[in-house]
Amino acid sequence: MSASTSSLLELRQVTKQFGETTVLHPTDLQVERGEVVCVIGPSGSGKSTLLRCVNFIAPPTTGTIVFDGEEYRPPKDHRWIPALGIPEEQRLTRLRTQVGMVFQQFNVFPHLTVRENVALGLRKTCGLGKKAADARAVEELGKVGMAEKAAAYPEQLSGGQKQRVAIARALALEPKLMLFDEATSALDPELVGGVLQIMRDLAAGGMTMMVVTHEMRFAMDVADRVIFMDRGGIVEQGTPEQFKSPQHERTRAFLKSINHG
Amino acid sequence: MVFAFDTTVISDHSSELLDGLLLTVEVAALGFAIAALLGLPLALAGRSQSPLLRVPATLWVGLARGVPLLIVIFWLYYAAAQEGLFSLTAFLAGALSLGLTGSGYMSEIYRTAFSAVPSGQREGAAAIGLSRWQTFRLVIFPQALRTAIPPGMNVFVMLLKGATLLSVIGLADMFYTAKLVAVNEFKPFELYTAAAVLVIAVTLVAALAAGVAERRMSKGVRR
Ligand SMILES: Nc1ncnc2c1ncn2[C@@H]1O[C@H](COP(=O)(O)OP(=O)(O)O)[C@@H](O)[C@H]1O
Ligand SMILES: [Mg+2]
Repeated sequence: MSASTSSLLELRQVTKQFGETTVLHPTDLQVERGEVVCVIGPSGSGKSTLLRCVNFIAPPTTGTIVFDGEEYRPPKDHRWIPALGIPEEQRLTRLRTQVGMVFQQFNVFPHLTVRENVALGLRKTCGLGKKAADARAVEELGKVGMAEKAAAYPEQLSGGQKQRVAIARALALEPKLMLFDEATSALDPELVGGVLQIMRDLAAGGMTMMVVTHEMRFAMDVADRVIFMDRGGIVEQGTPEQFKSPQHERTRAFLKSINHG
Repeated sequence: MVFAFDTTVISDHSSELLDGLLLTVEVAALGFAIAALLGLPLALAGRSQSPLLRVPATLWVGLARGVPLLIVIFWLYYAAAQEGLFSLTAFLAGALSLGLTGSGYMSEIYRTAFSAVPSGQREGAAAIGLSRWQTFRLVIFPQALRTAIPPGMNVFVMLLKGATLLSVIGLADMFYTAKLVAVNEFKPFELYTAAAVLVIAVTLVAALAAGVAERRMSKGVRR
């Protein structure tokens, strides 16, 4: 087995375009099992796009993604007869059950209780029965300190609590990779720490993670590797230690700008 | 001259009027059910990326909203029977006419309601591995339905008003009864007023019921 296929995730020449505009230039990236990769960069640099290409929520325009030894390519355009796309779609659906994702805006389901939010995936994609799914959901909620809120609706929760539910919802499916897209950016400052702590624990437990964040302290502490993106491409990557003296002027300028608020 | 509003003529014929009202509500309710059921696949087809679905759906919606109800009624009741296509009772022809007309409006209401669900909901659902159909059925539709209820109620009221046209094909609805009594008793003002009041009363009840339904279904959903 070659070194490249033993990576959990590999992006080969992945690009993303919206119409005429290229949002992600050809990008190569490998993420090893157990590795924590933090992605930093100015707003609009393509960080979210990169993450969303990984689980095909925004399918790449070109390129290949290899996840756990399986290759995934941009889905064909079945505009005329969408049903033809179903087999491809099912394959991507299976990919997504193995890749958890946590969003800046939480995206919890407001019409379901906290428990139902977590149980939904267990029932529909893992095929658990209602009882078993509910029990697993409560267990999973316990791990993020949300078991008591199992019967509540999201509107009754703080942002930090919603994000914990979203994390439990993703972790319940036992993903091999977790994607965090600015998971703490929409939170009140006093709620950030709790969510970051969950992410720290997860990293310490060996989870493979790609984390888009503006929390430089977190990135420096937790990351095995930091990636700096700008204008739709990876400018520079290295260990947190290496990021203390960045190679590129753009990286330096960015780090300076966020350090000064 | 003092105008005298004769209430006795209304109370004398109240049971006939109420029977007529019941029929009006029944035909409007069946019409609405047809509209609500047809509107859903129409809305989905209208949002499809496939022109094979989108184009016919758009045409249907345009026709349903553009062709006057009276013409649909005549067409389904008289014209189709005359050409030997099919023949329907006045009640069925009426309900179907209301349903076809209403389907165009319901389709637009569903479409608006679907787009009102934030795109993050779709992404959140996709991220836990739900298929497109599961995402629609379990996440998008339940949230959209709630937004669709108040404007959907307006369509019901519109169909209720439209149902008064069905007297032209001899459906013994409330308006038909009122007209009959009015002609016999020479009291058109009283009877049409009574008919109007009854329709307004039903409309209010419908609006109240919709409010209750909306609150029930909005459990947890408030943005
Ligand atoms: N659906 C879309 N359609 C068009 N442009 C988009 C879309 N999503 C993102 N973009 C553009 O892609 C660029 C990168 O966006 P994004 O990946 O969200 O950046 P970041 O997460 O680093 O802030 C931005 O210029 C943004 O405007
Ligand atoms: Mg972003």
